[in-house]
Amino acid sequence: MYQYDTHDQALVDQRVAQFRDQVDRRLAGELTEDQFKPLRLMNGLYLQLHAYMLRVAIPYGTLSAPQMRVLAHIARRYDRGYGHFTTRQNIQYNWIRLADAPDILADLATVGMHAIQTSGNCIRNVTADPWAGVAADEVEDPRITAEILRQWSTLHPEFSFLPRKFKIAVTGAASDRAAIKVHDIGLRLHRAEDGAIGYEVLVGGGLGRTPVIGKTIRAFVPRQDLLSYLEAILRVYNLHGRRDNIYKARIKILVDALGIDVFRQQVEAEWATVREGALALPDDVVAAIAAHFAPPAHEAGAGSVADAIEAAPDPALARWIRANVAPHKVPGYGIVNVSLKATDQPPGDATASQMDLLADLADRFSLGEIRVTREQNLVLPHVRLADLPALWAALDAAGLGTPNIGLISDIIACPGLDYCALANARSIPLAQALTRRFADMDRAQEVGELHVNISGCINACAHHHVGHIGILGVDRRGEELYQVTLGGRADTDATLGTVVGPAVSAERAVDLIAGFVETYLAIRHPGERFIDTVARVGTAPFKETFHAAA
Amino acid sequence: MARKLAADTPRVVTANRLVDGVVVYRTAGGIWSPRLHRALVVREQAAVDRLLAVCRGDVTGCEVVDLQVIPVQPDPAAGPRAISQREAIRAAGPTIALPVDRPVPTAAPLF
Repeated sequence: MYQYDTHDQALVDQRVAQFRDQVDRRLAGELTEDQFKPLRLMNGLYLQLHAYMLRVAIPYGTLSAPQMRVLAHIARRYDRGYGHFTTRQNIQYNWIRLADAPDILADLATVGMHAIQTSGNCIRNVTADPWAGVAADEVEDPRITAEILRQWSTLHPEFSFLPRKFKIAVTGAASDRAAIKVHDIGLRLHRAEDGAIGYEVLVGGGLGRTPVIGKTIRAFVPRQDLLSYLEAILRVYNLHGRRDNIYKARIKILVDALGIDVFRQQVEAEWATVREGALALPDDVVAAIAAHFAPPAHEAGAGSVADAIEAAPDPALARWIRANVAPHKVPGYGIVNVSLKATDQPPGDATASQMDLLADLADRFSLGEIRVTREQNLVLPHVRLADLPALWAALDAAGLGTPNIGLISDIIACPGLDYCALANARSIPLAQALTRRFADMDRAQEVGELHVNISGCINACAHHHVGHIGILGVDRRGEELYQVTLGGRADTDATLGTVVGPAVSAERAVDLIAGFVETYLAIRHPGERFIDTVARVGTAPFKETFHAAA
Repeated sequence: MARKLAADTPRVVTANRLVDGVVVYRTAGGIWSPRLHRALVVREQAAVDRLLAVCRGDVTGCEVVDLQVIPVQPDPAAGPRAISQREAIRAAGPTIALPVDRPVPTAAPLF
């Protein structure tokens, strides 16, 4: 894992001191709210429905065990004993006191963490494949690139006041687990014919009010040119992106307005002016960062996940391995996905005690590493297959053994109207109702892979446009209703879902989704996933289900 | 979508406490209470404007932030109640059971 050097540490320590002074001045009346608000947002502190909410950055979703323990400590000491892991691989605390915020940042700084650039119109926390460094289908660990981008974008003076927020995702694998096509910039590591590492660069993707699948702006950018090329994209956006209308300010709107070809020409012209400058990435710098992500020392082992399922002495253990453990690139190891979607629990929430336990389990079973996923789950990336029974027993005893990764009850949901000042409708109660309806895990495994995403407003924090089943909460004359889409996906073949009918009540939405599942089971081909069935037959059979239930 | 309020709609003034963000309501006694049912209900626009002018002093004085006027359903016996779902949730808290940080069995020791 990346370890802070003296510059990194000085930066976060200085930020703590600065924010402590700003909070003191605010509480003393020396700063007005208008003056203070941009300063608190620069440190991830929002004012939500009930209290301040602090969003803490987890760069590319990677945590060490000591970092997780500090997150648990913050939940216990400063919040109400839990935290919420987000679709951007961050964590949010919902019950923060302004007066405590500087102390929280100081505690975070002790383990190289902060809340810088988790809000505001800047380059946000760079996200990556949560299976980085362990996936069998990987060209290279994408965290090397993500860390380079973190260093480049942190407090970048030219890009601190962009037209709007800016999100970058990186994948190093053939299978896209980072949703790169729905980010402002998506990067896919791959090799040129000569074996050199470089990037396919996608631009102008995004969800929210205007969902767009990103377009490839360059099929291959050599690694040494990555920063100069991204700098060129950001410069064109910074210059021409709209600042007159917040709803038209994202880069996707600019790319659409200009057309990808004209946008590309402008980027290429800008690139020509910076390509040979100081932004060229020297091999020794890349190597130094890559050294932080060198594979840990795995023990010699053998066997596969299939072997572990076969050998499991308990059917419940076998079911959990089948759903939650993925192949590791090293024989004898598995990637353990820890579900934060237990029946009736708010998706993505973990208590302080659960976080402490996960830190201990990471130390004991996963070489001290933990990952946060876009699906609001956690990952123990380096687990010996022989340790799966002991690990499962410990997780299950703590309410963390739900065997539903990628299944219908593994629901992505934003905080919704229960917490969020922007939301129109509640998300969590609907997610909980669905988890109760589909609590039978054998049944869920029979249904197979099915991603349900629930957003409480059009800002789409739960990425509902790219859920196999997407649900958008709307407010119609004071009534909470839910609009359902089908056929979205955020993977390598990213697609936006199609609306299947008018918005319905929460109760009806649960029944509808159960009906969609029945329709799918009736018409699927052997081995066909829900999303593949929708792709094959379209939404017509599901619309019939919708209207039949009306 | 916000709807236009009738001129004599019963309303209260709400805000968040600066130091901790807690939702508060202006009472007839001139203090900020976390309980909606203690809020002072005003109807005429002139009364709303007078109340807001007073409350802005507490914004300047760093007691509260984010002043808002919200419509309510008056109830002489129980005090005002929120009309919108959003304000009902602001007043009463999340509609879900919050996670409880119960002790969990610890992992067996490493050595």
